[in-house]
Amino acid sequence: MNLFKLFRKNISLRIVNVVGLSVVFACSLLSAGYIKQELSYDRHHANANRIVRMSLQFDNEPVDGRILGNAIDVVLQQIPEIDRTLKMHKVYTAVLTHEGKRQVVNDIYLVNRNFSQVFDIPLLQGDKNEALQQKGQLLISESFAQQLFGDANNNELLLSQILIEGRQATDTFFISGIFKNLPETSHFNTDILLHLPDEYETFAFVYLLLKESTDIKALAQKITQHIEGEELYMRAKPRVLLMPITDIHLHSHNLREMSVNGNIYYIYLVIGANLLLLIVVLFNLWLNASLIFAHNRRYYQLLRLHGAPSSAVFKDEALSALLLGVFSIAVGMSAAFYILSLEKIAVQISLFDICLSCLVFLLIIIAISLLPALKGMSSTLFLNTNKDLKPTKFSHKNVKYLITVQYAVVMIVVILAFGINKQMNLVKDTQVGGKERNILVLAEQPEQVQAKYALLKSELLKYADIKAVTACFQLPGDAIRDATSVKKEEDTEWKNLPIMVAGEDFLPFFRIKTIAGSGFSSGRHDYQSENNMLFERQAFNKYSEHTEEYIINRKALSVLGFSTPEGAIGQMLHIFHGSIDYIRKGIIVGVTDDFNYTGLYEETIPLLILQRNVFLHCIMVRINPDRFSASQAIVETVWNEVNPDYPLNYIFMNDVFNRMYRNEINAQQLVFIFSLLCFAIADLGLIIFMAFIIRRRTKEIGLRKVHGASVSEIIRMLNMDFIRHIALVFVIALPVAWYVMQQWLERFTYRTSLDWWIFALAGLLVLLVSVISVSLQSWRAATANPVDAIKIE
Amino acid sequence: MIKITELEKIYRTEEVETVALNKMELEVKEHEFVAIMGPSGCGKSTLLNILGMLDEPDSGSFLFNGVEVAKFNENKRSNLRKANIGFVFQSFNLIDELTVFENVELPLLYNKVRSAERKFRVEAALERVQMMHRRNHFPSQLSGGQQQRVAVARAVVNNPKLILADEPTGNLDSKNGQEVMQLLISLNEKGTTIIMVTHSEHDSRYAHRIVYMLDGKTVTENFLKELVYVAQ
Repeated sequence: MNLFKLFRKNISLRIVNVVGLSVVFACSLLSAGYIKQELSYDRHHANANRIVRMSLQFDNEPVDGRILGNAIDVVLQQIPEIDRTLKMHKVYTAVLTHEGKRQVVNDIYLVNRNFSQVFDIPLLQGDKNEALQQKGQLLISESFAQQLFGDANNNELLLSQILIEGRQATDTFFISGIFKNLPETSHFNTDILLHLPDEYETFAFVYLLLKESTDIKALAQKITQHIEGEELYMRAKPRVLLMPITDIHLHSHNLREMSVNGNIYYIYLVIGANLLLLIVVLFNLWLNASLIFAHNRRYYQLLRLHGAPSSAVFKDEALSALLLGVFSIAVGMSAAFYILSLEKIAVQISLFDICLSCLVFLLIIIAISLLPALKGMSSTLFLNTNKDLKPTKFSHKNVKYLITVQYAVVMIVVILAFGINKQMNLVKDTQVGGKERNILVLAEQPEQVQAKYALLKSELLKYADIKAVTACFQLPGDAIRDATSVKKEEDTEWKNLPIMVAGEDFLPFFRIKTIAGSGFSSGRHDYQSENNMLFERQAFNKYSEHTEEYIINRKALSVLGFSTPEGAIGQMLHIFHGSIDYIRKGIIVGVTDDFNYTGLYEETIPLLILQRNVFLHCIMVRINPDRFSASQAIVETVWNEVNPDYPLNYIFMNDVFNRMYRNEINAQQLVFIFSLLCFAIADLGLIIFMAFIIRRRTKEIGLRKVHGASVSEIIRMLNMDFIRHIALVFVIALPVAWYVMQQWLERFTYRTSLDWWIFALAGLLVLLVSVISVSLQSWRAATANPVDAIKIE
Repeated sequence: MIKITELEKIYRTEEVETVALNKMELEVKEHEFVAIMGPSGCGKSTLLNILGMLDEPDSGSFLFNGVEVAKFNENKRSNLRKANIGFVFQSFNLIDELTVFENVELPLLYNKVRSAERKFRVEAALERVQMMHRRNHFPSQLSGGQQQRVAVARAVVNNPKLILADEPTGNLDSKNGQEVMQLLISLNEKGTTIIMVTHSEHDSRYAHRIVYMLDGKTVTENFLKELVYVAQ
């Protein structure tokens, strides 16, 4: 028989296979590209295998990605295994001025003179050995040069003057080179690199270029011992952590990472999801191949009886499978490239990967498709035309088991989708401002802007569309790591308490209520007076005699030794800190419940909340959600009036969290898409399987009707069978899904409860969709004329 | 018991229109044993399907126990059928996946007969056709004659008033055929009305009356014996 004819003979089954196979091909192609990309982070540096990033672990505290100050340099210089040390200090936001034009720039880095020796970042202009060697030198990226000057290849750009005004860096710089854009697969990304003078004491990411074949573990121990020996840190003995640069992207989850890293678990998740999808699709392929082979059996028997060798049967089947594979690959590849063309995901797939995937895929398809032929042909009954001739005579029981396995996979993925969704809702509910779409976050504002914050606020609040304005030291979701020593009036012992510096109206802005006492009163001090106090404290070590108000949270009660919230109200506290203690005493006026301003990966911490007018780097504006654009325009107008020299730069609060929980949101979407795909493909398989079951049972259905069965009784009979299987599937899937969910939730300190209804709902959904998709066929079979059915021999 | 008047059934395809029943007239009295004969395609099976309420006529009247059922919907026909009619087919039509017992039990299940009662009646029916010893076998384990006896047991288990038999001996050898005919006769003698479609002159002679059909209508009738029924 003509191959196409043979292929067309079971076209509906073939279409089901093409749909499933092309989906899985597209998914695996995209996933392979994605995984390859995730694994290739930072491998572009020639010394990638010799570069490690160093951080310090104090007790059991979460690890900050950065190290403060230069004290550590003495130790590092003594260690012969270290070739060079690179320090990078991140400036989140600054204003850049070039030829009078001002613009906001984000994520710029101050780097010390070893940058070019440690990292491989090719320069288009300038000399690698001279760039960033001296104070005032700056490198810009190719794309930024293009944006700034319209040309990146003009060497006259060198030495152009640029003014940078940022919270931590304000200076005039000269362009000493233009670097090729950093690849996507770099764990940090920037357009601007500034020279970091050696004497500059700040928080910096510390990279070590090691000598060849240095044992990283031993080195970490050695540095730890040296730090202990030098007694660098008084409060605790830190443990040195060294992470190879190529591991940072997938394995580093420190506080204040340079950018949101990926997560190796999501690589496993992608692989797992693809494997599950592949299992579901290959199962459908096997099922359909079995049905098709049973269908073609008579034809093959006749071929064999008339002298055809068994290889002729295999050849036909293999060619059909090849045709199926080619179709599926063509459709799948088109889908993959279409998705890539939408530019929603940045994945590059090489020609080699494509060829390899095609080959592997074709081999799998042919192998699975040939299984039923291999099994069938090995039977001695094959040539006996009188036996075993029913078109669907193949192991019905085995198929049921496989459908069960397939549906178990679907059930697991659906439960996971529900569970992850529930956790992400908890994240949004628990995170302060987590659900707020209508808050503009103006982060990392320079001092000049902070100085005019009070004016900005009062001007903004003149408009009805501006609902509230507040400010804070910390960006929402960011870690609160600054702590102060605190003691009650009568105590002699100082306690350590994390501090949160907030502006006026912070608590009402986020609808945080006090459980005892009241909120802060307003107008005790202003920016100018506080700034003077700060100056005197820093320059002359002189403390102000002013007092202030404090609010603590519930967790801080026990740290300070208060038994009830009410007992804390009115108590005097003294604080002691490097600079924040320019006002060093105050009265507790309120106690709040514990709330989560930082990420949900961490437990809520005890907090001492100070209301100040300085250190308010992050301004937040709540706007009218019903007049979204108009409100934004008001903010822009008022800003330009108050701060004409500083371009407005804001993001929405929900974007802050979307960025922070990027991995979790990706996982949520990934699991959702995969559960949908798995479900759809398994459902298609079920529909086909049901069609064959019904074809097999047509006569029985007719006979039952002849003997009095009603339509509903027939439908019930047909559906009950697989409803029982779905129940079995549920029992299999439940513990697996529960275990996987538990593992995933380990990541969060705040975990959703895995309520019974998640499982019940997922089970019901799978059941309902499956019942609906097979019921149409059941109904058709049940309402068919039994006369036709009982004629079937 | 049955009276059909001017009954018509026409099968239509895109190109052909086949008149299966052409203003057919027939009356069957209670307790009667009627054989219907005629060449292939004369409408015998169509008639039997309509009498068995498996199919509906296009026009004409069909009185069953004095009730007009020609325009009954599927549900009503199904209810009437399961309460009154038993079927015996040429190809036995047992369900392969069910045991002998379960096959015979089938009509009782759909008549909502209680489990204990079902067991009793199925065993009685199997006793009647002498198949009790095979109650746990599957149809594929039985000979043709045995299968047809089980089919007869299934047809009578619900004590129907009417048994419709479509060439009940068509697939059997003469000995097994004879046995099945004896079963039908004894059922008829006990009061069950039987309408049997057959090609066998021999079998038709067991009936009270033979109705000859051609081109969808009765052409002649042959009264073989008088209907004498003594309630037992």
